[in-house]
Amino acid sequence: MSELPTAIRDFILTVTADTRLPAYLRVDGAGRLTDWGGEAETYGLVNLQKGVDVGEQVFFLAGLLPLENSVFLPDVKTDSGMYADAYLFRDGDRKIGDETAWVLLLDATANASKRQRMQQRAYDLTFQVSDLEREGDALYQAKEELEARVRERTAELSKANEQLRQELAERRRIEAALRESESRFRRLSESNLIGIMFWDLRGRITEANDAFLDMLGYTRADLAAGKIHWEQVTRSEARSLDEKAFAEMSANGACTPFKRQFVRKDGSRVDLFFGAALLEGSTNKIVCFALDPSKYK
Amino acid sequence: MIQKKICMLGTFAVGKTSLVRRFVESIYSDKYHTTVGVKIDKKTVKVGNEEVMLLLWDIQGEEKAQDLRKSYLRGAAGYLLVADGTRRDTLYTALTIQTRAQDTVGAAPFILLINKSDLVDQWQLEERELDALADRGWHVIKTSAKSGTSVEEAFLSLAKRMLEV
Repeated sequence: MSELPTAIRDFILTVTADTRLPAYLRVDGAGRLTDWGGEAETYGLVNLQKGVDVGEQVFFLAGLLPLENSVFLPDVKTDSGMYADAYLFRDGDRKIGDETAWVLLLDATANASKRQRMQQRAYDLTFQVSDLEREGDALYQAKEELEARVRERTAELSKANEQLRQELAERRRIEAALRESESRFRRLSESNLIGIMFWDLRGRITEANDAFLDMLGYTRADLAAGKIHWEQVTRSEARSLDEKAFAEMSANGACTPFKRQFVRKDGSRVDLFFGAALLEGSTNKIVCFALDPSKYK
Repeated sequence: MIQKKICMLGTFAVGKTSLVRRFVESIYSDKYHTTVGVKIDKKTVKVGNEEVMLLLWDIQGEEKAQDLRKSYLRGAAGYLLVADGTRRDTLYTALTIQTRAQDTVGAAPFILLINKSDLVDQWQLEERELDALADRGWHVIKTSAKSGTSVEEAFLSLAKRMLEV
């Protein structure tokens, strides 16, 4: 300040005095209030009493006096709600405890309010960022969990897929084996080297090759019309043999071939060498073969 | 009547103002209002047979401990260090602030308050961290300005310790 011209110093003092609502307190070496003035009431400094401890009247001064050095307390919120910059300094060069102290208050409300708004905004943003970080963390964790579930599910699907692939391969293998077996059987049946027919336990003959039809004198048309029935081709004397054969089939799946007499379509009799077996997985469908021994004499 | 100055110290938004309001006015607001500078409240309490006027300096929370203005601490008879249990970093800022406060007010009594105990399911601080401080002789109290839990106890406990000095 000493470098400034007196006119400038005076102007600064005038501007400060006019714009910053200065108030002052004067305190003696024992901490008692001796004087006050300026805009003291603006800061809520009312009902002050001279000669009484200043700390009991102006609470923010409690504990601060006596002064060793000057003290600056920025942005003190006063009883009136206004903010003040408080300057505490000694008067003169007297010894500690034996000097007058001054307290100068200058209005800081505008700056404090502006700073409060900026600070509030900054902290609000800080919390928003923290919230976003927390949400981000939660989303990341959820994504990780989801990916883990997808990996787990993919592994399960892959395993199921492999199992299905193996089952399909097995099924193809079985179907191929079945087709080959059917092909062999068809070849045997169509060769008519032996008589072959299928019937069920209700007595209906459902399928027969030409050799079997020839042995009994029936035609394929008779078969298609359902005209061939087990009862028709069976002599009553043969029934006991059939029952024995059924019992053996039930127990073992097949019966021992035996000689059996059949009734032909024209009523004549023919002795055939006969064998039968239950179809695999069935309890009432039977495949039979028949040989005419007279053809092999 | 005896007057004792207590400073509320801690980083921003740990609940210093809310603790003072709960203690002085028995009220709480969920809305956060940042403190600028310092606001001084007072409350008279009885410690034993003695009435004491507590002058509570609610000092603005700085993000960094070194930004704490030491002139606010001048004349303090004790202080409450406040941390937020849901934010671990606030404890470590409080520890740095304590060192800075000790430089200014010496071995004045203080208590560490871990605030927001009503949100304990969101706490980042672990019990072992608080146990470690207790092992160093620190007095640690878990408080909730929201529910009022242990708030009165914290201020009265500090008042008692200040009178014992």
